[in-house]
Amino acid sequence: MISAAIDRLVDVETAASPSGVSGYVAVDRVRKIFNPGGRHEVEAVAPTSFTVTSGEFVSLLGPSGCGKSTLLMMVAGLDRPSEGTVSVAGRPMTAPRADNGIMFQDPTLLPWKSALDNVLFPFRAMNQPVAPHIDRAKALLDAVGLAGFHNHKPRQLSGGMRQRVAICRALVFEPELLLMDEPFSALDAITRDEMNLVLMKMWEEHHRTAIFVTHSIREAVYLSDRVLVMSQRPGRVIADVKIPFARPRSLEIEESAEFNDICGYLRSKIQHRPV
Amino acid sequence: MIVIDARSAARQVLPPALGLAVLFGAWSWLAASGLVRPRMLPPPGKVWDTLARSLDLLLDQAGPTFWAAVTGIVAAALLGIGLGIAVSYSRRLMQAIYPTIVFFQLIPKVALAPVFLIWFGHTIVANIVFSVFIAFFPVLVATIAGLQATPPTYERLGQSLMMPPLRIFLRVKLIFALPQIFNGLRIGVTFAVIGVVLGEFITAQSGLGYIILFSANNFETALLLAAIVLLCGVGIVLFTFFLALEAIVLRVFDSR
Repeated sequence: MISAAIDRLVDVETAASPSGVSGYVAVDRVRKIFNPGGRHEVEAVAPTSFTVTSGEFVSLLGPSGCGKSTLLMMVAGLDRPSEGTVSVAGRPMTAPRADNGIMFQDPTLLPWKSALDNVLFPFRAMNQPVAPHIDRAKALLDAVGLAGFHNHKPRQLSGGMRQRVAICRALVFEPELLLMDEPFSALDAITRDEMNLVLMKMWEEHHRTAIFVTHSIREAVYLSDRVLVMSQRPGRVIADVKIPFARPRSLEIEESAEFNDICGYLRSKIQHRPV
Repeated sequence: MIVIDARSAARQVLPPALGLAVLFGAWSWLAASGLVRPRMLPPPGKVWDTLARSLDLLLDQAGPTFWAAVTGIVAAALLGIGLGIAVSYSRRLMQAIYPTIVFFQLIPKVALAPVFLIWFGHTIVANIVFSVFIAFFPVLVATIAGLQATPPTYERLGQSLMMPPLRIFLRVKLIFALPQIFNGLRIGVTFAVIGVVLGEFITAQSGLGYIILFSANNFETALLLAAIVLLCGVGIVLFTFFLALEAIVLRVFDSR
């Protein structure tokens, strides 16, 4: 059941591959094959294209193992496409850059460093002085609700609190592009709602371009300006759906009929493996 | 608080103290009963007397043993950690040398001691080399295991922050490996003492091992046991030093 309203909002399936794509992030006919020519050759990502404009929040939604994380790692410059190109801000992405902030499923905090030192770690990693950034790091921690926890070690924090520290670390050097690889998938449902609110708040304040990988339909719809649905492996983008809700968004929009219609539509697009 | 602390301390100390007391009691009783001749097992008092009387001689000989063991474990640590790092970063190197190292470890090491004697003569160098040879292996194995302990996403994080491999290694991987490396060092330090004493048995020139060998040949059982007591002391000093080092380092770099 797709309502007429949804039809209006939903882009056509992206069959066309826009050559010479423009956009802040441009993924152009990217394909990824692991172990090419080997016995364990796997096509993880089938040739696929999409763009993300500056300041946009886009989710990559798909079943597990569909190659969405691989696609994100190629955008981050941590993985090279077998074919096609990824460019960010007009320059081809061949190696990681300082203007990317990244979050993983695991908070990847250094256990021997305090929350504050973890947020400041990118500067140490890049061999830059830390002192000028301490105030901003503290302000970020306060903003995600970790005032009073600056000197706590990761093991003294809950799972949700650790991911909050990871959000701060990804934002501390004010990256133009925020890349998130299922950052909340290991958290329980209530903490996850909380983290979505925190992320929304931080994103609205800093307003970076963001790509968010998830397998949760509701999370994708709640957070995004656009949701890209990926097929089963080898993954490619098979639908490009605009999410019309005004910002700032409250969690209540998840109760609206329109929200649920969009979720229903996205669900219909995801290919489930036959049982 | 203090009462509880004292009580828990008593609970910690009491069982081993009791065990030791039983051992000494049995030893005294056995020596006094006439069941064993004093030459076989002198009473604890006689061992204590000998220890006090021959302390100068024993301390003189404990010196070379102690310093050979220190040199042995330090060299074994450098060799084991260095080789562990090299092997962890080069698959080729791992394939090339690791099987050989394991093969040599499978030979009963005492059987190799005469070879070291031929190469290094009846010197303290032979003792040290033998000590290194025995002690580096647990350090090597622990280092290799420790360097695999870093979860793979941390490497990705480092790459995304454009850290050069060496900096990822020093600031992340090595620190995650520390608890394992210290496990290896703890085993290594006991092995280093064993290695030195074995070496002294064979070179028979100096050290507590030489005293033990010498007094056994002359049926000076009390002196032999006194030397063993001092050898225990050497082992305890070295082991405690590494425990303290571990506690200090892991307090700062606690990767739990």
